[in-house]
Amino acid sequence: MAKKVVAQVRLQLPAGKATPAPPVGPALGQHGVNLMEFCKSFNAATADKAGMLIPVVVTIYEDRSFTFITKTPPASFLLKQAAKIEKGSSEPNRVKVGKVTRQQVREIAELKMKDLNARDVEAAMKIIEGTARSMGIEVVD
Amino acid sequence: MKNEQNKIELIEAKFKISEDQIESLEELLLSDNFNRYSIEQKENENFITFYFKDIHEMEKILKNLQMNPEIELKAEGTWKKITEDDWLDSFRKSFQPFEMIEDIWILPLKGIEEDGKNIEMKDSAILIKLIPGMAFGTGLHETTKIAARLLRKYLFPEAEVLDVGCGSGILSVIAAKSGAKRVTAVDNDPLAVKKAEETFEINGIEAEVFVSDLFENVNDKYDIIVSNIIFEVLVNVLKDAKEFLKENGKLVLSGITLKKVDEFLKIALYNNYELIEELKTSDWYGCVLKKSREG
Repeated sequence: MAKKVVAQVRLQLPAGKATPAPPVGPALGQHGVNLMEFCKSFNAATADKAGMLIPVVVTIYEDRSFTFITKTPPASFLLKQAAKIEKGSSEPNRVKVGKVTRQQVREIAELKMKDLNARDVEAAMKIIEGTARSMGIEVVD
Repeated sequence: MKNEQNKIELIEAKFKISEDQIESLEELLLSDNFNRYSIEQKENENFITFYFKDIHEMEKILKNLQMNPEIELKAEGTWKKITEDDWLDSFRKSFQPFEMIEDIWILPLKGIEEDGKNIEMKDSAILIKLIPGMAFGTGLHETTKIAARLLRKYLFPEAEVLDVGCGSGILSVIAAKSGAKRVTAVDNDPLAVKKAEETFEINGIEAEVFVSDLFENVNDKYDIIVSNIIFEVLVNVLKDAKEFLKENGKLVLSGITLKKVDEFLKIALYNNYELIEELKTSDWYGCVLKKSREG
């Protein structure tokens, strides 16, 4: 019989560098997960993506064991990297804080394709462009 | 963020959110460089829990979110202060004394009253006391077991041992209790160094421990250098360790996933090491290396 799932927790963690500090500690510790074991496994699985923030979904079972799957980094993170900015704009409509090229948007869309609810790259690019707008990042040709 | 016992203190605030908001909410938080939150799915309901370091951060982040018309947060209960004890309790409760590898027992302390007398172990066995906390190295993980087995096999009385990336200090304690003359432990995380000091104290062993990014602050040469980290860091350990190994010294490495073994051994060979022994489990790999003569 399949083990019973007690919780499903989604976190955003630095590739290869997760530690038991918050958010990992409080989010997983309350379910009795061995924090060090989780961090070690996550770090080993993501170390080749150093510098990225990786979304991870952790499934915790009633015997405190766990499994996890990692996803592609969030669009806002990739856009910040591409535009070489620290933060998005607090007033995205009025204050623009950076620029990305359409080619960069395409690369991000292709990378995120499998996690996006888009039927093709063009549609995925529209989603990424929307995120860029909401952060005050201009898309240029 | 810290009180007088050096414990992490946080404000936990939980909200209910609808599923279609999750993505824009996350993008907003991350564009603000804030990742101290978790999203939990329970019976088709979604909750976001924030872990704020203080009330100022809480006000700032929540205000930013409320300014966005797309986001609607429904309070679920109220916010409360939590410390690391709150989230470690559940883990500590599930952590019972166990035999980590042959004749090495781990006794997790919940209070100082425990002495391990009720554990049925051989007289020659080693008992290691640990206060389960936030540092790597509880003895439960396969990579720690691999490192411990290899370390014990190559350890000899009077050996001088360096533990690189010591975490809780568990491998240093094994070395000291197995007869090493001198044990030095280093970690790049000051919290781990504090934890290791605590582990050495409750086990009554003498070992030096200090903050060092790999070999940065290390000056001496050792008979055995043990390091249980991950592939990407171990590659750097490999490159730098030679200077800190005595003639005929051994390098005990663990934390490599099986699919990285070939690549790792290639790098080891390229850096003039000779493979002496390897140990595998279903997912993890560890090995013992020494400097080859030509190198």
